[in-house]
Amino acid sequence: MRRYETIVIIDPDLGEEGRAPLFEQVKDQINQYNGRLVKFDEWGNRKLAYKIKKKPRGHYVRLDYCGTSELVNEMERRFKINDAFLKFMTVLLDKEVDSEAIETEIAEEERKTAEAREKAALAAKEEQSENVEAPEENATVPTDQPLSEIEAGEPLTDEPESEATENIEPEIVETSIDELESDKKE
Amino acid sequence: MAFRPPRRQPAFKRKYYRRKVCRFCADSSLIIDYKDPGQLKFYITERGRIIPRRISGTCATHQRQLTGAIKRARSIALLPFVGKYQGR
Repeated sequence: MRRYETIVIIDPDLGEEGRAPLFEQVKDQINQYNGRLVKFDEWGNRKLAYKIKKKPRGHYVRLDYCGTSELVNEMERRFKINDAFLKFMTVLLDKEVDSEAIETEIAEEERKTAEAREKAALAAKEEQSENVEAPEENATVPTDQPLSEIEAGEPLTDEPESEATENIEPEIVETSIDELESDKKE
Repeated sequence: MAFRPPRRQPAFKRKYYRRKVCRFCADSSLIIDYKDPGQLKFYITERGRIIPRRISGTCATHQRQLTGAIKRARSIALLPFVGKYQGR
């Protein structure tokens, strides 16, 4: 068993109902090939850096799972067939997987998500008691969560340093970019 | 003959010269991850090209990881192949 990570971009126009059967399909497939889904991570709708199939936005989903190469091949074959999947990418995370470690990790993840849900529910209750607009805000919070965690965690730690380096860098960087671009023109 | 303006004296050394340090070596808590375009955008130009090591000062090991991560991020549309990265 190997551990893989697949990122799939799904057509954002499908909506929640359109996506659910696709996810079911993928999960079934993983079970069929004796794989194990570690994490199903929905990033939600994001702006794409470039258009894919003329769509400027996409619904990102990250699948973290264990399985064999046959599973990956089959999954990618289906992604290619279905038009709802705009793009996908599979990355090998680990060549050997310890099944016990995975089980504990899954349990951990589940506990975390449960906690997050409880917190969200609590926050929702408080907000509801305070103002009427609370439900709307709630709807946006869960989808943003995975990303905000990543982004909130790191910039904070490196900010002072990045400022320091940026102060000196711009001069050097600009001249060299000019160089690069002029190279290109010639 | 056209008059050629005298060229500026070539600067010996930059006045504000400072040794560049690899950011990832200095701070081991930074992880190079293709899923984090906000972090990677510091290492691409406005046109989306990867900034070379001689300019950013990244060490060889980390530059290799960086290029890999940037290329992965490009292939799933987190970073542009060409053009500016516009937030999220």
